Amino acid sequence: MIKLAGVSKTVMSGGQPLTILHPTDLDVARGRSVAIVGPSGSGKSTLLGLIAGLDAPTTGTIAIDGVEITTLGEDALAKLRGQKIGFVFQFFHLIGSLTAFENVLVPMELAGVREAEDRARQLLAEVGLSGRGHHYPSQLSGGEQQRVAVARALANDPPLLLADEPTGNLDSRNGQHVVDLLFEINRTRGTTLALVTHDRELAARAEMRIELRDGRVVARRGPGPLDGPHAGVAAEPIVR
Amino acid sequence: MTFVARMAVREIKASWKRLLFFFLCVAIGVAAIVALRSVVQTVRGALQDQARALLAADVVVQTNRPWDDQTLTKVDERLAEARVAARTELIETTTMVRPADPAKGGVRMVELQGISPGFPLHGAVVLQDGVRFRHELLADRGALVRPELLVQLDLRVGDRLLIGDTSFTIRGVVASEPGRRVGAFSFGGRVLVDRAELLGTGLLSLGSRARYAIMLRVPDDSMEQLVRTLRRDFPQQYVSVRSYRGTEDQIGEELQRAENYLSLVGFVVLVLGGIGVWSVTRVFVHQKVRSIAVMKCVGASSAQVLAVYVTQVAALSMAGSLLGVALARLALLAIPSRWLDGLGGVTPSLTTSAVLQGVGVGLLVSLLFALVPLLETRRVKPLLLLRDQVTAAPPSPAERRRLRERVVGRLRGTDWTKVATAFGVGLALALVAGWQAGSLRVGLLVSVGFLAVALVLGLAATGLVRAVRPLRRVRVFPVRHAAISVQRPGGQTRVILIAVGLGAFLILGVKALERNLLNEFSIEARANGPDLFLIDVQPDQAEPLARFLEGAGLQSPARLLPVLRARVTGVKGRDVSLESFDDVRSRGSLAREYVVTFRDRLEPNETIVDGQFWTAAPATDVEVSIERSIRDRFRIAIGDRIRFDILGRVIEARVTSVREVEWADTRAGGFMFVFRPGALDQAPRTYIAIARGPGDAAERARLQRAAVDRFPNVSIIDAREIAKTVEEVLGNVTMAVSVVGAVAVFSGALILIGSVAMTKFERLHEAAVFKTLGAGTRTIAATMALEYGTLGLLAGAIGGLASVALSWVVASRVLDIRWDPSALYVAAGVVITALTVTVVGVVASVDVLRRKPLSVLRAE
Amino acid sequence: MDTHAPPARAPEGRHRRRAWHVVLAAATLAVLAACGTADDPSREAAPRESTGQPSVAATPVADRPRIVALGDSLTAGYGLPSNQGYPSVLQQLLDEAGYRYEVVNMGVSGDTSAGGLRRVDWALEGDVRVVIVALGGNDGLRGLSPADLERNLGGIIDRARARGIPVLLCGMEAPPNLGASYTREFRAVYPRLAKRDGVTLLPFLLDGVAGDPSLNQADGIHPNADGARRMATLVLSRLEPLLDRRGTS
Repeated sequence: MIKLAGVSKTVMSGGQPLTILHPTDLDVARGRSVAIVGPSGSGKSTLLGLIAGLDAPTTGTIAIDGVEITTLGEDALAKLRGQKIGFVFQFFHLIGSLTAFENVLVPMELAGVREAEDRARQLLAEVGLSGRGHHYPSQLSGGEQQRVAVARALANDPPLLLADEPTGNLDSRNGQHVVDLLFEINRTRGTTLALVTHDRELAARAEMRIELRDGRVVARRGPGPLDGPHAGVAAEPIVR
Repeated sequence: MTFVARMAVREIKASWKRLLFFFLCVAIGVAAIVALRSVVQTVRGALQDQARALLAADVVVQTNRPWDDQTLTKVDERLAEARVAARTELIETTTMVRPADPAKGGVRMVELQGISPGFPLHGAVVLQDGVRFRHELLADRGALVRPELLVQLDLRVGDRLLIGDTSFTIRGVVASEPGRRVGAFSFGGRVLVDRAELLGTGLLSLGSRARYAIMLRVPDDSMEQLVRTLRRDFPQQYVSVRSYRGTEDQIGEELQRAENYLSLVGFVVLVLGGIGVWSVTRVFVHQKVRSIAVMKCVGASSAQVLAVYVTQVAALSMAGSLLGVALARLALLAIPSRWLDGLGGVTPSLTTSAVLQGVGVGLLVSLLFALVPLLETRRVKPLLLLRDQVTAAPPSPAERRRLRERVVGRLRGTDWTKVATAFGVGLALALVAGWQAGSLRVGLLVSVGFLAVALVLGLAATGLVRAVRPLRRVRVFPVRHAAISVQRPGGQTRVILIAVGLGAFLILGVKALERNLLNEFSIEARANGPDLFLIDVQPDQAEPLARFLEGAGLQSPARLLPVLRARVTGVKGRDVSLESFDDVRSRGSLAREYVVTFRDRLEPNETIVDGQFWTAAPATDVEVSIERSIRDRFRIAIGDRIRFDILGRVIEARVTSVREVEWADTRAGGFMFVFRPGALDQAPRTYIAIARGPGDAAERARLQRAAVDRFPNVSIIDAREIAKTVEEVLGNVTMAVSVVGAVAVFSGALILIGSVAMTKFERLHEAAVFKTLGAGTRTIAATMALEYGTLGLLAGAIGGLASVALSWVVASRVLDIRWDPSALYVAAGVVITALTVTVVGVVASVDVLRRKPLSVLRAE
Repeated sequence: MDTHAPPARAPEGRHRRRAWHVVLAAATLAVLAACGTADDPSREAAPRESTGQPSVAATPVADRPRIVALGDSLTAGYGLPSNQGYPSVLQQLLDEAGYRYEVVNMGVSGDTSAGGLRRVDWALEGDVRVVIVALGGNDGLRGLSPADLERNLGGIIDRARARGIPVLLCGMEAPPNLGASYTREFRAVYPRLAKRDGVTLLPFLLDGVAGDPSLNQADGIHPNADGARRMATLVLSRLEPLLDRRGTS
C-alpha cells in the first residue's frame, strides 16, 4: 500500500539547510496498521505528510497503492487524495464556514458522488455526532471536531487512512473514542491505517511500529518486513 | 446546484457579517468611481455646451474677403467629408446707422451682423420683453438691436433705422446673444439683420471691410480632423478656422484647463477605487487560503478550487459594484443643486459609461487580485498553505534537478497561465481607465507618477521593516510589538504603506492642483475688473475726461494711463535691425514698436524683482523699468542702455529696475517698458482710460453717448459682454473644479479608511492571544496606534512629497498655471493622514479589543 | 490668422489674448474687429533705420532739410520691415533723383486726425520744407465724424502754414460698408481743404493699391512692399513740384 524508497526532506532554515528527515525506506502492506512514534521534532509529521502527498520529498520515491506519487502534479495528487487517502490532522482543519454535515459532504461532492447526503448522515452517526450535523466547527468541542474530521476522512471510503497526532488536542476520554474508531475501521474494513503519535500506549495498539529520532528511523517492530531491502510482502488478503 | 454554487451559498451563510463589510468596501470604491465620473462627464458636457454657445457653432470658417468659388468648392468638399450636420452663413461688418426719421439726429457706429436661418447653431438669441426669437422677425427688412442703441439714438421698437441707404424696422431688442467669442471687441453694439438683406443694402462693395463666416455643427469625432484639414488647405491668413475647443483666446484656455483637470481627477478616482477593491480582495483571498488547502487535502483539483473562490470573488464584487452604483446615485442627489446652478442648471446623473467603468474596475480589479494569488496556490503544497507559507521554499539543487527533469513542462504551463491572466486582466483594466479619459497626456503622467510612487513606497516598506529590527529588543511592550507587527510576514506593512501612500499622493495632489487652479481663476475673475476702455484721449482732454468720468457713476474710479508709441532700435550700443519679413511677424524680435508709459508708482499687479523703482535721488538721465520677460528673453541687465525711437526722436534710457507683471489682473493694464516721469513729458502721447462702467445697460449707454458728445475723437471699447462672459465661464469652471475636487477627496478618504480598516482581520488572532496572555486593552490599543501611526506617517510623508512633485508637473506642463507649493497644506495633509490611519486602525479593531479572546480564536 | 501665425513663444502664452492686450491693439492699430483679424498685438510696426542721431533727447539736429511724413500705419509701414514703408521708399527715390532731403517718418499706427493735430508741433521742429499729411484712415475705421476730421486736418494745415511749410494733403476713403452718406461726406473733406493756400492734394493715397490683393497684406488694409512702392511713386509725383533742387551741393 505504502512504499517509500530513500525518501528524505531538507528545508532551508535561516539560510542553512536543515534535514528534517533522513533517507528512509518503508513498506506497508494493505490492511495493516502502522504507528509512527517519536519525540516532537523527530520528523514524524513530516513523514506522514509526505506519504499523503501533501508535501514533496527532497529525495526518494513514494508509491501509494502502486501509484508513484512523486511525479504527479497537484491536481492528480488531489484526485488521488480524494479517492484513496483520508487524512486526519492534529488541528482538525475543518472548513470554518461549513457545518459539520457540509464538511463531511465536501469530499464526496468533489468526487461527484450522488446521494452523498445519506452517506454523510450515516458517517456522522458512525462517529457519534448524529444530532450535531448543523453546527459550525466553532460551535463544537475539540473532540467533536476531530470526530467530524474522521468522518470527513472516511467520506469516500479510502483504502488508506492517515492520522497525524489525532488525539494530540483531545482529553483522554475523547481521545480514546477517536482512536477506538480508527482501529475499528482498520479492523472491520481493512483500511490501511498509518498514524503518528508520541503516545507509546497508543502506538502499541498498532501492528507495526516505527520509531523516529532526529529524522532517522531508529527502530522497527512488527509483523512483516517494514523496510525496503528486505521487503517480502506479507500478503494477508485484504477483507473488503 | 453545482458544487461551486453550493459552496458559495454555504460560505455566504456562514460569514455574512464579515462579507457585508467586504462588500461595503467594494461598494464604496465603485461608488466613488461612478459618482465622480458621472459628475465629471456632466460638468465637462456643460462646459463644452457653453463653449459652443460662445461660438454659436462647433466650427467657424471665416475670411475677410467675399467667398470665391474656388475657396468655397474646396471648403464644401471638406465639409462633406466631415459629415457636417448643420451649416449657416453669416456676414459681419461695421457701419453707421441713423434713425430713419430725419428729425432725429445722431449717427452711431454699429456692428451689423447678417444671419441666415439656422443661426445660432448653439446657444440662443434672447430678446427682451419675452419676445421669442425667430428668424422671421428679420424678414422684410427687420432688425434686432441692442438696448444701448435705442438710448443712443433715442429710438423704440417699431421705429425705423437707416442702414446704409436702406430703411429697416426695429422688431426687437437683444438681451443676450451667442457667438460672443468672435468679434467681441468693437466700437459699437450689434444689430442683427437677415444676411440676404444685408447684401441687398449694397454696403459690401469693393474695398469694404467685412467678416464672412460659415458656421458649422460637426460631429465630435470628425471635428478636429476637419479643423486640421482646413487649416492645411488654407495656409494663407485670410481664411481662418476655429473650433469651440480652440485655445486661442482666454476662454478657450480656461476651458481647456478645466478639461485637463477634470480628466485628471476622473482618472485619479479610478485608481483610488481600484486600490480600495484591491485591498478588500487581498484580505478576502488571504482568509480563504486555509480553506483552499483543506479542500486540496480532501481531493479538490485546482480547477475546482479556483472555480469556487473566483466565483465568490466575482459575486462579491458584482454585488458590491451594483450597490456602489446605487450609492453613487444617492450621492449625486446629495450634491446641492445650487452648486451647479451656473452650469445651465444641469443635474448630474449617472452616465452609462461611468457606470460601466465603475463596475468594470470593480470586477476587473477584484478578479485580477484574486486570480493571481489563487493561481499561485495551484503549485503550492497544501501543507505549506496550512503553515501559512504561501511561497514555496526554494528547492535544493537535487530537488530542482528532479523537478526540472520531470515536471518542468507542467510547471512552466502554470506560470504562463498566471502571467497571461494577469496581463489580460491588466490590459482590460487599462482600457477601461482610458475610456472617456479625455486627455491621454494627463492619464499617462498620472500613471507614471503612480507607478513610481508605488515603487518608492514598496522600497520604503522594505526599508522600514529593516529599520525597526533593533526595536524588537526594546522593553516597552507597545513599541516592541508594534515593531514586530511591522515586520510580520504577509505584507501587511507593504499593503498599508502602498494603499495609504498612493491615496495620500493622489488626494493631496488633486487638492494642490485645485488650489492653484482656483487661485489662477480668482485673479482673473476679479469682480471689479475693468470693462470700459476709452482710447485715444488727447493730452488736453485728459483732465476734462477724468472729471467727466468722476461724475459718471462708475463702479470703481477710472484710471488714466499715458501711452506712447516707441520703437526699440538698439541695446547697449548694439544696433538692432530687422532683416526679413518674417522677423517682423514673429514675437521673438525685440526691435518692434511698443506701447510705453511713464509713472512714478508701481501698480498693484507689479512687483520689483531686480533693481529699484526710481530712487529718491533726482534723475540724472532717462531711466526705464523693464518687464521680466524682456530681461529673460533678451538678457538685458540693470545698467544696460536701450535706445528708443519716439517719433523721430532717439532717446537712450538706462535700465534701473525689472518688474514682474501679473498679466491676468487687468485693473491696471501692463507695460513692458515704464519710464521715469520727466523725460517723456513733452513727447506726443495719448491716454487710455480704464474703468468699470455702470452695471445698468441704459446708464451705460447714456455714459457712452455723453462721452462721445463731449470727446468725439475718443473711442470707447465696451468690454462688458466679453468680461461678463469670461467671468461667467470662470465662475462655472471654478464651481466645477471645486465640486469635483470635494467629491474626489471625500470618496478618496472613504476608500482609504476602508482599506486600512480591512487590515484588522490579520491581527485579530494575535490580539486575542495577547489578551489571553494578560495584555490589557490599552496596551494592545497602544501597540496598534504605534504601528498604524508610524505607517500612516511614513506613507503620508512619501505620498505628500510625491504629491508636491505631481502638482508641480501638472501645473506647469499641462495646465500652464502658476504653481505654489503650499507647504503648509501638504504638511497638514500628512499629519491628517497619519492621524486618520491611526484612528481608523484602532477603531476598526475595537471589536477585537472588546470581544472575549476565545470567541475570536474559535471563529478562526 | 490666429491659427497659423507662428506660434507665440511660451512665456507669452499665458496672456496672449487678455482683454488688456486687445485694448492695446485697438489703441495702436486700425480697428480690425470687423474683419475678424483682431488678434495678435505683437504685429506692430517695424523700426526705422537708425537716424544716427546723438543718444540724448533733444531737438533733432539735421544736416539736410526735412520732409516730414505725418500719418498713421500707412505711413509708419505697419507689417513691413524697416526699409519698405512708403517714406523709406520715397527717401530712396529722392536720393536716386539727386535730391538732398531727409524724409522723416512721423507715422504712428492707429493715429487719427485728432492725434495728428496734437503732435504736429513736435513733428514740425527743425528745418522742415514739406509736410505730407496722410491721416483720416483711422477716423474712418472708427466712424469718427467727418466734420471733426475736417476740423482737425484744418488745424494741422494752419499750424504748418503758420511756419510757412507747404502741405501735401493725401486723401483717404472710408470703406464702403460704413454707408454711402458717410463715405460721401468723408471723401468730400479733402478736396475742400485742398482749396486753401499752400495745400496740394493727392486725391487718394491708396490709388491703385486699395482692393488689389497682390499689393496688400493678408488683412486687406495695409499695403505690402509692392503696394508701398506704388504709394511712394504716387506721392513723389505730387511732391516733386514742391521741391527745389537747391541744396544739392
